[in-house]
Parts: sequence; structure tokens; C-alpha cells
Amino acid sequence: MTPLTQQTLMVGALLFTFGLVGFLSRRNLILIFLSVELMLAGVATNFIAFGSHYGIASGQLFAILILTVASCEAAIALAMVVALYRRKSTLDVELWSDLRETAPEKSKPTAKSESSKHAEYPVLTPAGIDPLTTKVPVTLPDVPAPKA
Amino acid sequence: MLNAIWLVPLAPLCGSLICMALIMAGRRKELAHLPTIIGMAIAAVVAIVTYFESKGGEFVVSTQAYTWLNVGTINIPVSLRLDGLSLTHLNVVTFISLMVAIYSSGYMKGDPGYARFFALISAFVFCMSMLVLVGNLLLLYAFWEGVGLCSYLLIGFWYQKPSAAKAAMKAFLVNRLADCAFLAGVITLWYGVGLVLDDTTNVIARLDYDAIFTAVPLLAAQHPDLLGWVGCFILVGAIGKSAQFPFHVWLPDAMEGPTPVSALIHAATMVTAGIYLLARMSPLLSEAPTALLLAGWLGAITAVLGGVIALFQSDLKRVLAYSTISQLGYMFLAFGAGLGDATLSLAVVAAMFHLITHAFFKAQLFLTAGNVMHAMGDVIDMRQFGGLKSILPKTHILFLLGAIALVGLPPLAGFWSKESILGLLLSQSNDPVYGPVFVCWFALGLAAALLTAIYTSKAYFKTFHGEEHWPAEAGEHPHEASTAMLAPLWVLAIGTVFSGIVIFYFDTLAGFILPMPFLEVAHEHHHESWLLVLLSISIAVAGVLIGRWLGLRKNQAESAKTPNAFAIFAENRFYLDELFYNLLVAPTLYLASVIAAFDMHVIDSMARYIASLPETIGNQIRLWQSGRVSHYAAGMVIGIIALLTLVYLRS
Amino acid sequence: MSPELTNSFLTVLPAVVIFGIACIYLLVGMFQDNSSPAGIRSVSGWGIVSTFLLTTLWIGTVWFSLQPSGLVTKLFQSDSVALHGTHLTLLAGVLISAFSITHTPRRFAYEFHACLLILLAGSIFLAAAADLTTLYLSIEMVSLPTTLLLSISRRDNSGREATLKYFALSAFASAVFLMGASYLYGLSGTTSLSGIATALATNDTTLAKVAMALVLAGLAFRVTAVPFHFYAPDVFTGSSLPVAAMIATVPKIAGFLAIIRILGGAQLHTGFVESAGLILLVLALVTMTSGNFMALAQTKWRRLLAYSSVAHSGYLLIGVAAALYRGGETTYVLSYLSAYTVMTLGVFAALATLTANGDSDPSLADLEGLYQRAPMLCIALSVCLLSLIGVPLTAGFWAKFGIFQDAIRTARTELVVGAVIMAINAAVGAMYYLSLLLRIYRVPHTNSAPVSTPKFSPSFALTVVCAAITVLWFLLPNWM
Repeated sequence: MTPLTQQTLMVGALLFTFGLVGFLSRRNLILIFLSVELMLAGVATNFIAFGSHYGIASGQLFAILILTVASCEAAIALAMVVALYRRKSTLDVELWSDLRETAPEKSKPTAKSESSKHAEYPVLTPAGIDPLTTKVPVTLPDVPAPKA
Repeated sequence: MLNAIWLVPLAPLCGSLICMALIMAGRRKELAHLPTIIGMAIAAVVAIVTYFESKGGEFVVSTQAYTWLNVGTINIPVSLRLDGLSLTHLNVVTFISLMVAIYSSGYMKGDPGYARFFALISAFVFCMSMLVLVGNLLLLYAFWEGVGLCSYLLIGFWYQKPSAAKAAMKAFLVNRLADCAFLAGVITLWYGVGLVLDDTTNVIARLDYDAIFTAVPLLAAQHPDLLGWVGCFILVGAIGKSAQFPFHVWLPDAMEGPTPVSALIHAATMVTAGIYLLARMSPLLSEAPTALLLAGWLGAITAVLGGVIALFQSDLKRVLAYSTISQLGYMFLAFGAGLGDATLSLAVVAAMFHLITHAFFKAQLFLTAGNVMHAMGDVIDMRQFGGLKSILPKTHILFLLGAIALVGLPPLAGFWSKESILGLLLSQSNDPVYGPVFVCWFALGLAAALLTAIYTSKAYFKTFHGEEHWPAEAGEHPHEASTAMLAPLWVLAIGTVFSGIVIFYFDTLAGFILPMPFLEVAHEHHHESWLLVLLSISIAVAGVLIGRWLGLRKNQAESAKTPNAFAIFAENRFYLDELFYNLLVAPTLYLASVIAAFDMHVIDSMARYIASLPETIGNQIRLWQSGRVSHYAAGMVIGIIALLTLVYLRS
Repeated sequence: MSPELTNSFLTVLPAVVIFGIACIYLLVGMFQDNSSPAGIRSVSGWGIVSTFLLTTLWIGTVWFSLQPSGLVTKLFQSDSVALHGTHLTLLAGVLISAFSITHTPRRFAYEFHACLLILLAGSIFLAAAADLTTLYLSIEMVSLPTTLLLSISRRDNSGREATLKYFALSAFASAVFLMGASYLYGLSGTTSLSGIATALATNDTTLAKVAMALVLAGLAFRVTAVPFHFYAPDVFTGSSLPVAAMIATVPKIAGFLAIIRILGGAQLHTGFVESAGLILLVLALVTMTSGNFMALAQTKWRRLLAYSSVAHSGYLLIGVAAALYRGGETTYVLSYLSAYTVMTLGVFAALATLTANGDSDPSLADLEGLYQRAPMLCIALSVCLLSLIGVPLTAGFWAKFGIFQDAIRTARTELVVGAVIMAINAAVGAMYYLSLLLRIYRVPHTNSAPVSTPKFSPSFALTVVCAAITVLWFLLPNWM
């Protein structure tokens, strides 16, 4: 195995790990999906490294396939981000935790906060802080959900 | 054409399913008799056509439908076996069932459980015909339990009545007791066949009849004791189902069920399954003389005992029930006669002969008793009615025909079959080993015949002659039964009158059944002794006269006289039920209460603790399910790390 | 067209046909006016057409390709797994589209059914996959339409949340799977599954095992193995009933087919088989035990069914592990999967019959005394539940029996122990299924009837059909 292959593989593994950690720690929907893209990029790098190591094109082809599927996923993800944002006026993923085991009745986090004079657009949600203890600073004028 | 035999069990099964669907749907329940009757008619027609096509004899055919299970060494094919014996019994079952089903459509009219009744009775016919047709002892056992279940459900048909529920339970438990022995026999036999045939490839096929009969000579040579045990175990199973002493206690109580059920299941078909089992296993029994001796003694005792008790019963259906027990005793007695050299084949023929004629006339008697019951507003106590001859003229004639057949006066059916059993016993009386035993049985058989004549004529005269009176429940004007109830009785009457003489003179039965595979056939045919004929006719006539005197005595005279000890004893069925209760049931209940206490306080609390454990753990770990995507992803990452660690540690 | 391409095309012909139909749906749907009364009336038509087409296709498949041809091309292969997988998927497809006749979302009728068809096609492609590329694309072909189905079939907050959870975690699992796949590619230098298997037959490095662990972790998400199962209860709760039923069956079928495809190649290296088997066994035991334990603590039908399906995945994983040791004989796993599909869909259809709309989430207490109101439905439901327990007279018995027997036949201590634990788990599972039955047959104390008395509907019929299949299967195990 050539040093170049080894280094490329290292890059791939790092990208994957960064993506993984990002997925776990971020609370913003867009960042979460970006983290997944990062993981996929790491995988694609791996494929390309192996492909060039063996001198065959199938690795590169696979990488292109992965990018294609990733773009499909991105399309769905962005559509979903819009749909979710319309409901709760925030991109904080922790607010979508109504479906769970309900043994001890906790007070549910609320999306609406009393301070509604803030910006029109979403701001980056801080990572790793429980929304139960902090007020969510963002909100938009409530957009009514489309009637089914 | 032979594959059409599958229609015999399947048509009633479909009928039963349709009835159940009607119950489910909750509509058109009043039409439930149609699928039942049509199903049974198909079965009866197919059975009779196959009978005439087969010409009997060496006619052994197995038709295999499909292999239910084929896993490794377990291969369970479901196949039917046709031979003279199964076809003969099959025809009795299907024909009587059809008649009873038609009768029931009139008898059960207006009952809230109308559809349930027909669903159950169809299911019974399915189980019974499968019992007769299957070619494997294990499957026979399965359907043996199946008919037991149907019998239980039908005895307890009016389950709101405590007595009916109790009787059903009793029948089921007593049968269960005997079935345990039967099952032990099946398992022992399975083991034994495995010993001699050395066939390890297919463990279930060891219980095919062919395999059993092939193994019997080898077993008799190598393990005679084992064979003796198997014979006795199977005999116990048979006497349980056929209500022989000491297992007879369930049958009289079974009369709590609707009368057609008593006629079909508890007189004509199911209780004869024991006889069928012995006939089926006759090649085995020929090597197990102990079982045959036991069968003969139990049969003789039951025949007399049943007769005596029947004499002192005042309930018409119970008289008939004890009469059934007594007549079944005759059939077992016939098997006892098979003890002699190579006469088991003749014994089988005699027993089956009596089985057929008995099925006809006993079904007829029960159904006419049902007519009486119907007219009397469900009162069946003979002390409360009498002189019904002019009120129920047709029923009277039908009952009379059945009674004559039962008493054994020529030329009606019962005479010929009873004669063949007694003749067989007499012809064996100079047997060097068992001669005295045969003489003894012959005497008991004659005594039973006398008793039969007495109680039958007593019941007849008490019901239809003498002073005309009926209970208040019957209303002002008791009326004759409807056509639906009378028509099948006339058909049955043809069998009651002619079946005996036809079978006797054309000697069809022996030719049909006898060339049974694996059974040595006796070629000598016993000759009718005119002395015996005269003797039994005179006994019958004497019995009838005594019975007439007993039946026409004034009720007042009867009650005024202080009953002697024997009468009390017999009226209470010799206290056999009480004996069984104190001997078996009470200690079991006591033991059960002790075990129950232990179970409740020790086992249960342990079990409850263990059972609560999973839920407690579940309640703890489910809280990890917090509803947050990041937690879920973290869970997955922990899983991945755990898997990687596992792999790392392993390598 | 080259002969190889033609053959490869024939193998997956059902999937291609289904995919074609889905495209036609999308094209025709463009001209459908959802707001007009005729459009609204035609909503259930899509389901009827789907059911009919899938049934025809299924019968056709059974009719024409009774024997696998054994052909292996670059992309697809035709063997018994492919054949069984195709039948299994079509069976599930017929049942699910019949189920959704009355539960099709009005605004998205044709999209709904097109998505359903596409994911069925994906599952069939997956069954025949012979290459990592086709395998990966098939998995995505199942998972992306599932996301869309979740999103369009239920439009309230719960539906949104379920979509989010499924999609995000599914993308995550896909990435993990791909990472493992990239190492497999690196080990063998080829993307063909047989090439990878050949490489693994001689290669027993740690990298191979790491790759396998990652691939299995990614696929464990599809088959809801613990601890990759977290999404399942939430998604079951937050979706409409037919979609929940679909998620309980089709992705699981796809996941198991993928595992079988990756592990079921030629003779693998013994050391490698040991580690893969260990992974599967540990996953299986954890999955069935925690699935059953958590199901015991549930009070809602949907969550209970979700955990029950988790537990069943555990039993299936035991079967896969046994198959791995026994050289890739996966008949029992596939027959368990088909039995599981039938009985689970039966239970879901019964729930759909009982609830007015597909979104409601009945609690266990709501069905108390149901027998008084709907005896027929109750009996069919009971048959399905008994089959999930695995009692005789139902298909579930043979299914469990087969897996159990397979595990015992490997004659390996760990698998025999696994089989015993599986039996104990089946008993624990019987506890909650039986308590469900008890509730159904018990006379309620109050007269309140929160669940409507069912009228006859396609889902009613479906429950009865599923129950009938379950019983028939028991009677004719060799025909299935």
C-alpha cells in the first residue's frame, strides 16, 4: 500500500469521524444533514483511494454513485427542513421529541417563546444544551400548517 | 373413485364450518340443519357406493392425501385406509348420523342453540368417520379424543343446567382416565414395534396398522409380556369409551344431553368405537389372551349388571342407557369367545354383527323415546305417564319394533346377532382350557338376555299400555311428533326389522370383514343349534311376560310395598358412583387442595416475582427511549463501538 | 442487447415491471385533479389497481419461474434467495396495497402508491443483487420512498417527527454501512459480492472483521436490531397505519435479504465466520430480550407492535447466524420472514379496521371487550396474535420451530444456548400477547366504547385472509 493511499484513507476516516461527531453533537437540522454528507464524503474518499490503489475504476464509480444518492438525500432533507421549520419556527431538532416512552410525565418543551421580536431567519442553535433549561431565542410569526 | 372417500369426512366438516360461520354471522341460524344434512347425505351416499363397489374381502386400499409434516425423521402423512371392517363401520356411522340429523331438525326446532347443535354434530361425524378411516394408531388416538370432545360438548349442550354441565364433566373425566391407559398402550406399542422392526427412519409410521400387524408375530415371539400389556392397555381404552364396567358410570349421566345426541353418540356410534378398536386390533389381541379373557369377563359382568340396574330405573332414557351398556357388554363377551383356537375372526364378525343391529334398533328406541319426551313436555319419568298407545300411535309401533328387536324375538334384528354371540360361546364350551369359562359366560349371557326382555317389556308396557295419564307439563292434548321426526324413524325401522335376517342368511358380513389382513381366518363355521334357538326364544317370551306383569302393576301397589334391600341397592346403581367418588375423586380432591395451597403460597409468589421481573427491567430500560434524535444516534454509535470491541476481543 | 444483459434483465423482471408501473402512476397522476369530486372518489382506485397488478405479477412470477436459474451476472443473480425474496416482497406488496385501499392519503394518492411500488421494486432488486453497487442502490430505493411515504401519509406534528427521525437515522445508518462497504472493497478490490466472498475466504484480518461489523451495524438499523431500533416505536406511532405496517415488514425483509446476500456467498474463512456469527448472535440475544422486555411495559398498541417486531428480528437473527454456520442455508429465515409478514400485517389490518382513521393510536384498554362487538374480527386477530406467539395450529409455530431446529442442528454450544434463550424469550413474548387476548375477550367494566364497532372493509377482509393463510400454512407446511 502506497503512502498516498494510506494518507487518503486516513483523510476518509477522519472525514467520517468528524461527520459522526457532528451528527451526535449538533442540534440544528441543517448541520445534522451536513454531517451526514460529511460522513458520505469520507466514504467516497475511501472508495477513491482503494480504486486508485487497485488501479480499477469501480471505486471511482462507486464514489460517483454515492454522491448521486447523497444529492437525492439532500433534496429530501432540504424539503423536510422547510416543512419542519414551518411547524415550529425553529430548526432545533430536540424540539421534535414528542414521540417517546412516556413513563414519567415531564413538561414538554414548547416551541413558542414570549420574545417574538427577534430575527426573521433561523440562527444557529447552540450545541448540546438542553432546551428544557434554556429559552429558545428564535421564533417566526406562526405559519399555519397546510391543511391536509 | 376411491379418492371420493375423502368426501366422507370432509363433507360433514364443511357442514360444521358453515354452521359455525352462521353462528358467527348471527343470521339465518334456523337454516343450520341444511348444511349438516347435506354434508351427511353426501358422506352416506359416498360410503354406501364405495361399499358396493368394493365387494369386500382383500380390499385394502390406502389413499394418501398429503404429507402434513416432513421434518427430518418425522414424517406424518395423512392417509385413509379402506377395508371391509372400516367400510362396514363407516356405513353404520354415516347412515345413522344422517337419520339422526334429519330427526334433529324437527326435535331441536326453536332451541336457542340450534346452529351450535348442528355444528357440533357435524364435527362429531367428521371425527368419527376419520377415527374409522385413518390407517395409523396415533391418528386414531387423535380422533378418539376428538369424538370425546364432541361428546363432552354435546352432553353439556344445555350448559346452563348444572346437572348437564356436571354430567359432561363426568363423562370427560372418566373417559380421560381410560384414555390415559390407551395412550400408555399406544406408546408401549410404539416402543415395542421399534424394538422388533428396527425401523428408525420414520418414527410415526411405526404405528401404521400394517407395521403393527407385521410386528405382532415377532413381538409375540420375543416380548410376549410387552404385548400382553399393550393388549390390556388398549382394552382399558376401549372399555372407557364403550362404557363397560367399571367405567360405565358416565353413560347414564350422559343422557342429560339432547335425545338425538343420546341416540347417535351414546348408543349407535361413539360408544361402539371401543368395539371397533378391539376389532381393528384383533390381530394383536389374538396374541394377547389375557386381554381377551378380561374383555370376556368384563363384558359378561357388564351385560348382567346393566340389565339389573335397568330393571330398577324409572327414567325411560336411563333404562335405554343401561340397556346400551348391557348390549355393549354382549359385544365384549363376543371378543371373549375369541379366546379359543383361531375363533377370534368369528368373534369379530359376531361383535360387528351385533354392533350393526344394535345401532339400528337402539337409535330407533332412543329417538322414539325422544318423541315421547317431546309429547310429554320433556318429562321422561315413566311413573308420570302411561297408556300412550292411542295418543302416539305411530311412535308406539316404532317403539314396539325396536323393543322386539332388543328383546331378541325372531325375525327382528336383535335375535340373529345375539344368537350368533351365544352360539359362538356354546360351540366353544368343550374347549380344553377355557371350556368352563365359556359355559359360565354362556349362562351369564342367557341371564342378561332374560333381564333384557324383562326391562324392555316393562318399559314398553308402562309407557304405552295401562291407564292413560300424562303429566301437567304435557298440556291438555299431547300430540304425535312431526313428519321430520317420524320419517327417519321409519327408515331406521327397515334396518331394525330386516338387517339381522339379511346379514344372517346372506352371510355377507363374514365374507366382507373376514379376509382381514394379518388375521388368521377360521374356516369352520359353527352350526345353529335348534336347542339354543328354542331356549333363547323361550327365555325372551318368559322375560316379556314378567316384564308385562311388572309394567302393568298399579303404581300405588308399587309404592305401598316396602322396597326390599336389593331393589334399593339396584335403584341406586349398586352405589358404584358413590364408591368411585369416595375411592377416587375424594382423595384426589383432598390431594389437590393440599397441592393448591402449596402452589398458591410458594410457587405462585415465586412465579409472580419472576414474571414481574421482565416488566420491571423493561420499565427501566425503556426510559432510554427519550425521543431525541441525538440520543438515538448515540445509542447506535454505542452499538457500533460495542460490535467493534467484540470483534477486536475475538481476534 | 448482449445475452448477459438480457439474462440479468430477466432475473429482475418483476422489479422492472413494478418500477415501470410506478412511473406510469406518476405520469398519469399528473393529470389527476385531486380537488374534484371525481378525483376524490378515485383515491381508493389506486390501491385497487396496485393490488390487482401486484397479484397478477405474483401469480405470474410463481407460474413462470418455479426454479431459480442459477445465473450470475455482474449486477444480478438468480438463485433461490432471489426467488424467495421476490415472492416474499410481492406477497407483502399485495397485502399492503390491499390494506391501503381505504387508507390512501387523499392529496397524494398517486404519489403514495408510486412510492410503495418503487420500494417494493427496491426490495426485489435487493434480493437479486450480486454487486455492492446494486445492493446499496436497492437499499436506498427502499429507504428513500419510505421517508416520502411517512411524510405524505400523515401531515400532523407526529408525522413530521416520525419522518425526521426515520430519515436522519436512516441516512446515518447508510453512511455507516457504506464505510464498512468501502473497507470490503478495499480488501477485495472488487465490488462484486462473489469477489468479496472469495477474498474473505482467504482473508481473516482485523480489517475484514471491522468492515463486517460496520456493514452489519448499518444493516442492523434496517432490521431494527437493538441498539439500532430506537426509531422503530416512534416511527410506528407517528405514521399512518398502512405505512406503519409497511415499515414493520418491507424494510425488514430488505434488511435481512441484504444480510443474507453479504454473508451468504461462497465458503467464508472460518475465523471470519466465527466473528460474524458472534456479532449476529449477540445482536440477536440483545434484540429479542430487550424487545420483549420493553414490549411488556407498553400500554399502546402501536408501540407494543413495534417492540414485538424488534423481538421477532432477534429470532430472525438467530436464524441468520445458524444459516451462516450451516453454509448459507437460509430457507428457514425466509419462511420465518414470510410468516412474520403475514401475521404482522393481519394485526395491523385489524387495528385499521377498528380505528376510524389511520392516524389514531389506540391504547390496549380501548380494545377491551372487543369480542362482544366484533366476534369475527376478534377471532382472526387472535389467530394472528397466537401465530406471533408461535403456538401450534398457526404458521408462527413452524416458523419458530424451523429457526429453533436450525440453531440446534449447528451443534455449536453458543447457538444452542441462543436457541434456549430464544425459547425463554418466546415465553416472555407470550405474556404480553396473551394479555392482549385476555383484554379482547374480557367483558369491559364500563360501557364506553372508544373504538368503533367495525364494519366490513378491505382491512377487515385482509385480517381474515391473513388469519386464514396463517392456519393453512400450519396445515400445509410443505406447500409454502
